[in-house]
Amino acid sequence: MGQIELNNVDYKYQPDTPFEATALQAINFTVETGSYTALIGHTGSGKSTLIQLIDGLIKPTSGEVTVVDHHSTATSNSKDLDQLRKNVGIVFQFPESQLFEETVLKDIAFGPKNFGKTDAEATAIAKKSMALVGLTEDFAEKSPFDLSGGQMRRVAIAGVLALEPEILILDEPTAGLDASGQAQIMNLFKQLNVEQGITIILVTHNMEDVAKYANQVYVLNHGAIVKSGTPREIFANQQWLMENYLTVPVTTRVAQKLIDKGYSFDEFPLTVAELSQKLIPKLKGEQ
Amino acid sequence: MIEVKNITYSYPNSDSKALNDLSVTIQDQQWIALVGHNGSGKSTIARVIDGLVEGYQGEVTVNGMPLNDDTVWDIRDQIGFVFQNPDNQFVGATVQDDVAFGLENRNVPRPEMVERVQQALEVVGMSEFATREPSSLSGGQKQRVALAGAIALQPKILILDEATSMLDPQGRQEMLEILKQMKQRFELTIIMITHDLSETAMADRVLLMNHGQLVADAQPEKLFARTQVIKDNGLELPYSEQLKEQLAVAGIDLPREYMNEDRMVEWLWDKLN
Amino acid sequence: MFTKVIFGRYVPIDSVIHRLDPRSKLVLSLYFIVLVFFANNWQSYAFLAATTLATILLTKVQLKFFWEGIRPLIFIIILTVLLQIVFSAGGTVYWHWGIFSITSMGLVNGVYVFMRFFLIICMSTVLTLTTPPLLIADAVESLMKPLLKIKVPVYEIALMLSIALRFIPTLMDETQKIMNAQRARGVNFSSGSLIKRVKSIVPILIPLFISAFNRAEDLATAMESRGYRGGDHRSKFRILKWRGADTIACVGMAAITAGLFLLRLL
Repeated sequence: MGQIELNNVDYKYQPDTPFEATALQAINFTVETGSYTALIGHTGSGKSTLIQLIDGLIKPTSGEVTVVDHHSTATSNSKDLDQLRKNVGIVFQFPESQLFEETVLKDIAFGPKNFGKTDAEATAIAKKSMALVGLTEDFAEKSPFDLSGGQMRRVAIAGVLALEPEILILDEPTAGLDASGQAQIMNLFKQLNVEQGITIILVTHNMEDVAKYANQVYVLNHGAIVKSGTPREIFANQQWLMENYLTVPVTTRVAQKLIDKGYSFDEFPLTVAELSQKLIPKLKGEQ
Repeated sequence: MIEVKNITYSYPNSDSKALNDLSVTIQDQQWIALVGHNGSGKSTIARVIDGLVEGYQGEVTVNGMPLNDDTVWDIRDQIGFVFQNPDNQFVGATVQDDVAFGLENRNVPRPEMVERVQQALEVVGMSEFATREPSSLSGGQKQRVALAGAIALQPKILILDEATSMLDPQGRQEMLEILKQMKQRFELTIIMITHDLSETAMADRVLLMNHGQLVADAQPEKLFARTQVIKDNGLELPYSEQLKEQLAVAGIDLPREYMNEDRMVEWLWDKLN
Repeated sequence: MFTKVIFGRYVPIDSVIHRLDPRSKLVLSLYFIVLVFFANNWQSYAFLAATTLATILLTKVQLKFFWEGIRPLIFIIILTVLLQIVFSAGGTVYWHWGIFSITSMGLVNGVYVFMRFFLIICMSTVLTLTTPPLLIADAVESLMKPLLKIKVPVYEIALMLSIALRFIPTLMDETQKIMNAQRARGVNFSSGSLIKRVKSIVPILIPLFISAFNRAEDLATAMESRGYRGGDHRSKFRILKWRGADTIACVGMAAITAGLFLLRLL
C-alpha cells in the first residue's frame, strides 16, 4: 500500500450533459513515501485532472483515491475531500497568480493560518519557508507585486512549502523561468525530497528534469496510463515515445545514436554526467 | 533594414536602465535570434522597434523611415508581432475573426480579406479550425493563429517575443517549422526573442543581451563555443558544450569549435574506435 | 463549479432555427415577448404555447435544456404567481383571510401570469440556445447602426462586447485555477460563517483583478501592434446575411399575430 493510491479511478467532466467528456479512465496509480514521481504526457492527456484528484479538489466519478489514510470516492462530501488536502501541497503552473496579500510574509503565512496555526506559528513557518526558497529577510515586508517574475515564483512556492506538506505536487514549476532560475528551483525540490523525505510528484514536459530527478515515471495519454516504470525503462524505448509525441532527454538521443553506430552501453545513460562517466574511461584508453 | 542607434530607456518607476545606449543594425531577410536572461532588455528593444514604447532616447529607422509619431503606423504595417502569451493577443471571437483583425484595421475590402485570411490559415496549417473559438484551442494552436494574423498583413519583418515559451515541446517544434517555411516563402526578416539557445541554431546571427546592452553578436556556432560568455550571462550551454565541459574536466583533449549533436556523435565514435 | 451553469448556453447543432439570421431571431423574439402581453383568454394562451412548442421542436435541442433554462427562475415565477393569486379579487371566493383571498379570478390570473413568464423564458432560451453570443452581439451592432447618426460609438461598443464575450471563458478558467490554488492553501469556500465565506472571496478577487488588468494591458499592446486605431475606417470581416428563411420566419410571425388577434375576439 503506497502513500497515494488511485484504484480504478474514472473522471468525467459535466456528466450527463451534451458537454460530457471523459478526462481520466481506469487509472491505477501508486506513489510510495519519499519517492520522486514524474507524470508525463502531452497537453490535455489528463495530468492536471489527476493531481486535482490527489488533492481532493475534485472527486472521482468512480473508483477510489487514497492519500495517506484518507479516501475520496464518488459519494465523498467536501469534508472528506478537505482531509486529503492536509498532507498535500501543490505548486500550480504559474503559481504567482495565487499571490494576493500586502506583504510577502503575510502571503506565505496565509496557508498555515488556514490550516489552524496561530499568527505567531504561521509567521515563524513563513520565515523558515522564505529562507528555504532563498529569499532574504528584507523581502518580508515588500509587496509581492513589486517583485520580478522569478522572485514572485519563489514567494508562491514558499507559500506552498509553508503548509509543511508530506507530499508536494509540482505542475510545470519552472515554466517561464530562465536557465539559472530553473536550476535553482529544481535543486531546491530535490533537496526537500532527499533531506526531508518529502514525496514529490512532478508534472512536466521537460524530459531532462525527469531523467535527472525522478525515480518513477507514469505516462498518460488520452486520460489513461499507458506506461510506467523507472526513467531508464521509459526512455530506453525511444521509438515508442516519439510515436506518442513525447521527447527524450538529449543524452538518451545521443546515446541511441552511438548505439546505432555499433557502440554498446552496459547501462543506458540518462544525463550528461552519466554519459560522460561512461565515456571517459573508454576515451582515455584510446589516448 | 532596421537601424537602432544609441537607444537608452528606463521603465517608469524604475531606476535601472532597461536599455543602455544600444545600437544594432539588422539587414533584410536576416534571421536574428535575440537572447538573454529575463530582464536583460531583449523584449524592450523589440517593442521600441514597433513603436510600442515611448520616452526613450536615441533613434530607430525601419526601411529608411525614421520612427516617430507620423510614421509609426506605416512602420507597424511592415512589422508582424507575435507576443508571449497565446491568450492575451487573441482579439477575435473565432480563429478567422482573429486573423482578420489586422486586415479590418487596415480597411482591406472584404473579398480580399476573406482570401487573405484563408491563405494565412493555410500557411500555419489551421484552415480546418477557422470557425473555432479560442477556448477550444491549445496554446500552440493559438500561437499559430497569431502567426497567421501577422502574416496576413504581408509584413517584411516578423518579431516573435518569446512566442514559444509557454508552449509544450510539440507546439514549440511546430512553430519553428512553420517559421522556417514562412521565412523562405515570404522573404522575411525574423527577430526571434528567446532564452533558449537550442532555438537559435537556425538563426543567421545571435544577439546576446545583458543589462540593456549587446554582449555578443555572432553566428550561432561561433557564439556556442564561447561557453564562458554564455554562462556569465545566465543562459544554459548547448548540450554538446555541456558534454565537452564534463569530458574536459577528466583531461580529455577536445576540439575548440562548436559541434552540433550529430558532429559530436561522429567525433565521439571516431575517438572510441 | 462553473461547469454546471448550462442556463441559456449555446448548443452547437444544426437546425432551421440555428441557421436564421441573428437579427431576425433577436427582433422576432423581442416581438414575441411583446405579443405575449396581448394574449387575454385561454385560447390565445394555448395558441401561443403551441407556437412556442413548435419553435422549440424546430431547434432540435433536447427539452431537458429548456427545463434547465427555466429552473433558476422557477422560484421567482412561483412567488409572482402566488402574489397574483392571493391579491387579485373577483369571481367566486374560495378562501379569504384579511386582505388575502383566493378567488376564481385570482386563480385564472395566476395561471395567465405563469403562462406569460413561461412563454417569455422559453422564447428567449430559444434565442440563446440557437445563437452564439457573438452573433447576438453582431445583431445588436447591426440594429444599433442608426445611432451612429447621433454620435453613439456603435463600433467601439460592439468591439468591447465581442472582446468581453471572448474573454469570459478565459477568465472563468482563470477563476477556477485561482480557486484551486487557494483551496490547496486551505481556503474553504463551502463552510463557515457568512463573514468567513465573504472573506474567502478576497484571495480570489485580488489575483483575478490583477490577472485581468495584466491581460487587458497585453491585449491593448497586441491590438496596437496589429494596427488598431479606433472605430472608423475599418472594414468588416463578419457580415450578416438575410436569407429566404428569415423572410419566411417574419411572415410566420405575422401569421401568428393575426391568429392571436382573432383569438382575442373570442
